Amino acid sequence: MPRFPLWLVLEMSFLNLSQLPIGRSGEIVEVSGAPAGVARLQELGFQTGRTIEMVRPGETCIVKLDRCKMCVRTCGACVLVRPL
Amino acid sequence: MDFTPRSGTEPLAAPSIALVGNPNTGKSTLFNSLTGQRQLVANYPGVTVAKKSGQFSAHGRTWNVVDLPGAYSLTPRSPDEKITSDVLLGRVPGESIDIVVCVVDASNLRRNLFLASQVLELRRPTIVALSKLDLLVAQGQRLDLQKLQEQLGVPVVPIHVARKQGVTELQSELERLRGRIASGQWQPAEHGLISGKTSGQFAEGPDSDHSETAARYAWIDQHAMLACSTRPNDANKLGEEGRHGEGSQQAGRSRPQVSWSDRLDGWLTHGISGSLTFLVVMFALFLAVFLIAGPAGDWVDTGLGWANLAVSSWIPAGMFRDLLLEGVIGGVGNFLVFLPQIFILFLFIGLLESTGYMARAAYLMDRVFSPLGMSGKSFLPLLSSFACAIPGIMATRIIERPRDRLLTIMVAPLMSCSARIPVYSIMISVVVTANIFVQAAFMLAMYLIGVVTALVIVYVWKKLIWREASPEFVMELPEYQFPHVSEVVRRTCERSGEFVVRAGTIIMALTILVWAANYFPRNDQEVAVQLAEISRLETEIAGQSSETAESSQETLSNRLNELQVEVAALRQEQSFLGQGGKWIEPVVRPLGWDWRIGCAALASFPAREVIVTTLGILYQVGDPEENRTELELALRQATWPGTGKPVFTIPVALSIMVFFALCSQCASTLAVIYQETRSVWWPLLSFVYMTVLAYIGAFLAYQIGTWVGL
Repeated sequence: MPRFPLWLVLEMSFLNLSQLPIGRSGEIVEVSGAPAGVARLQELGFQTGRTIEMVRPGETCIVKLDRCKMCVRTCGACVLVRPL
Repeated sequence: MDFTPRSGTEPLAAPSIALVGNPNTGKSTLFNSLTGQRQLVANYPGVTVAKKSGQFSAHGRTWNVVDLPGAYSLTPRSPDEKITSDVLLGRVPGESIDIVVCVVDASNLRRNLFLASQVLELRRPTIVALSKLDLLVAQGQRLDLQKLQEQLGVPVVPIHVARKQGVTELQSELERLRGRIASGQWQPAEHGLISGKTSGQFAEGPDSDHSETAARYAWIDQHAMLACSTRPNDANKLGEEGRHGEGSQQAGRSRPQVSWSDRLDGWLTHGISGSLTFLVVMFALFLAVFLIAGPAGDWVDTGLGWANLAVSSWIPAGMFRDLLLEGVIGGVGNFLVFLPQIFILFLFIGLLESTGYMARAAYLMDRVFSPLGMSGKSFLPLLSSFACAIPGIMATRIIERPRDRLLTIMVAPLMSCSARIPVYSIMISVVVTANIFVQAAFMLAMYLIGVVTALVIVYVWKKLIWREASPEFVMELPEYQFPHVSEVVRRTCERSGEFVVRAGTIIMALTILVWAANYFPRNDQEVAVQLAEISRLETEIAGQSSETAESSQETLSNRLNELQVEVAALRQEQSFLGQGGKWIEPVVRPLGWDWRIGCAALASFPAREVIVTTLGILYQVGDPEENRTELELALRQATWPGTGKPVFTIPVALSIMVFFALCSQCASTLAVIYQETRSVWWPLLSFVYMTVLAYIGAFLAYQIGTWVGL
């Protein structure tokens, strides 16, 4: 059985936020990208460890975070989630 | 920076308070119920962000309140947010705040406490006003106010403004706090917030140190959020959604009960049903604007007619009367007629905003805008521009990125505003005599030309000139709620008032200038024959006794009317404006226009609606507003000198309409662009690109129209 490096195994189990299927929740693993965009996302609560639920997927998606619905298009920033 | 109360004979005799909070927390509603009618909307010095201030009396003193624009953080991202942090940090001269009231939305406590924690760190006297507690309870949660107050170290007052609850309590709490400050007993609370962030360090642009944000949220979770708990009987149903450090497998799979807001979103944000609903809503909006505003505009017209009559009967004939009639009343009237349309559009948009639908519309439109390089935040400014570009341009302040804001400002005037309607309707009714559907199709085509051109410009500018990716787009979708009608009406009146003041002054000044260009030089010798005839007829009519046959009296007054119109036309031709029209005739010939159309277009550069009046004067119709059908008839009968061919053919009308759809013919808009961008280059660029585009568009419309054989 071929052995994959650990980072690749981890990478494969994470999804970009836009890939999270409808109705599924995920834990935010990383928010990265352009500083200004990342800062705003973090201020709004997109932080490592938070649970996020996909309400309507797409490039511009609607998510639920802390019971608050938000519409997000993360151009320039990347929100990585671990599906729960 | 530690807070020191202002010195004076009696400290804090008239204290100033500032309301601060996230957008959609009910901050403005609280402001309105505190201040009632005693409000003032102005601008902050040097910037165009609206400053809402007011007063109220409580406990025997007058309180000054200022409502700061909604913000998510004291590190600002938009002009609106910047003013909020600048005022709180004491960077706005003449703006001193004694007490900060931080409005916190309980149903979204964690995120709202982010800003609140930043405010607390300023170590100023602060009160937290907790709104939407009922929504928190509906979510199956419970909040221990006492505990929250202990954790935050400041008074917490629950409010429900729509039900008029909590306002008196808030006032009492303010008075108590004021007393403590005045007697020197007030001390800033020590909450052990992330240390080291003094007030001077906020607002220095995007913060690349994300650890600070994380530390702030950690503080919120470990302290303030302790006051919030899930009701025991709801705990099983709801699970511990998203609580920090409890993101267990179970938490992710738990399905909270579906609220009606979620169900509505299932329909309204859906690709097909949502888009269809959006189209229906937009259609209803424009229908309302045209159906309701039309008759209302007629009332304004009637009112102006009375004003005209009063001036004519009280003020002796002469230049001053002409100035009042044609310059002042005509000028102000020209745009007051559009006020009902603008009011209704604002009202409709206000109602949609109040229900929470506007955020969904912006989400739907983001899918159209993002491939072009813009975000859904540009939707509302562009929609407002269909009434008038001025409020549309002012609404761009919510857009965070300066370049996106600029681009939205640049294309907003391409949306067909209400001032273009008279031009379209007169041209269409002159050349299209077929059924009403063909006329409507022409009208729709004119609106589409503006929209499509705007989209193409955005694409070219963003992708080819700036070569930028689409901006990131994050927007809260608030819970749906029934609109707060009185609140919306009040805000609509405010916005319309702002529009009247801004546009009215500029439009009036410019109309007076155009009037002067149209009035001078005044050489009575050229029209001496006609003038002599007029005075002879006037004495004859005055001398006639009542017994004289009515028919002869009518013939005389008809002849008098004709002569007066002839004099007006001759004078027009001699005026600076008329000379200008003749001078530019070679330029407008390729568009299929004669010198008179060129002259009317030239006169319409300060305000496009002037074209109808100017055409009326040029084609020798008495008062074109009253004699709309007469003007149509005159335009249909107008011929080219020599050939006898009609001037107004379909290609000519098309070229005029396309020109007006695309041209920058509004001095007020240019002035507002200057105010919003603080640069002469942007209004100049807007003027040049739109005018060049309009010329090319009109040229193509005429040439292609003629070639096709329309």
